Amino acid sequence: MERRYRTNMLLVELMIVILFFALSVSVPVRMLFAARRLSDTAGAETRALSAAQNVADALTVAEDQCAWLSENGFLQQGDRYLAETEAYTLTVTLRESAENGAGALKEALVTAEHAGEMLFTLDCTRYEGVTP
Amino acid sequence: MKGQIRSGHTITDAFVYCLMGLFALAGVLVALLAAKVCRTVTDDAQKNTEQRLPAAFVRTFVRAADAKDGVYIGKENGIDVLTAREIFDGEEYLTRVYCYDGVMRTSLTAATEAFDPLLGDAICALAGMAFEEKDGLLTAELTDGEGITETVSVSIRSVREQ
Repeated sequence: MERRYRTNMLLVELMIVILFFALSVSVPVRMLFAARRLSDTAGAETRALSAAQNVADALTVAEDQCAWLSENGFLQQGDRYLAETEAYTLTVTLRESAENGAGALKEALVTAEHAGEMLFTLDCTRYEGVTP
Repeated sequence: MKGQIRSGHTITDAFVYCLMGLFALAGVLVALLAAKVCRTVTDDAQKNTEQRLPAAFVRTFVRAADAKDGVYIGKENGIDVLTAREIFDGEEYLTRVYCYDGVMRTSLTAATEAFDPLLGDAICALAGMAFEEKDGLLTAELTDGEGITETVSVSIRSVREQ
């Protein structure tokens, strides 16, 4: 009878210990998944930054920015151009100041997004003078 | 009756051992999962660094040397070379960036000295590097050890006069 009681107590004790450890394990497991998510975001940011810098530099020298964007896989949506990859989305917004006698200011805003969150915006501005 | 009690004890004991075994198995699984995630995170960080370093170096190199006749590309000893030209105390010096023997290298020499790719300082591991310049846009194709090519485009505000 006493042996049975001791066995049952051991069982209860063991279950309490397992429950405690299971709860404790949930903390590092969540941290591991958070680390994995951060690592994925960092990778996406690296690739997005590199791609955005390439686009900004190419737009700086492009004769026709709209044509360059269309040729390089950007889809026009209203006044914006979008390029989507698995890791990030690049959005380019083109603006042009009203031309005065001296020339016009051409601005391109390159925005990168990852999982619906904005990562950064690169501003690339070029002055285009009037050829006499 | 005695036999029945003994049998009940045996089942309870077996359950306790099974529970302990399950607990040990869960512990091992968590440890394996942690090791796998840790390895993946470290590998990803290493990959990001390997991808970012040569690209950032080329971009910064061009930006820093972007002056009239300051930066240009060419082939020397059959190797694609990105060169920055500077003048100190009336003497011309060339800083070259190139890939040789699986390593991205840079070397600073006087313009009169011959180019020896072995003498460059190692920057990082890189399998290949090719340059192209068109309408003021310099494009560098950087290939890493796994054969993945990263393209870097940098606008040169001062295009070299030929």
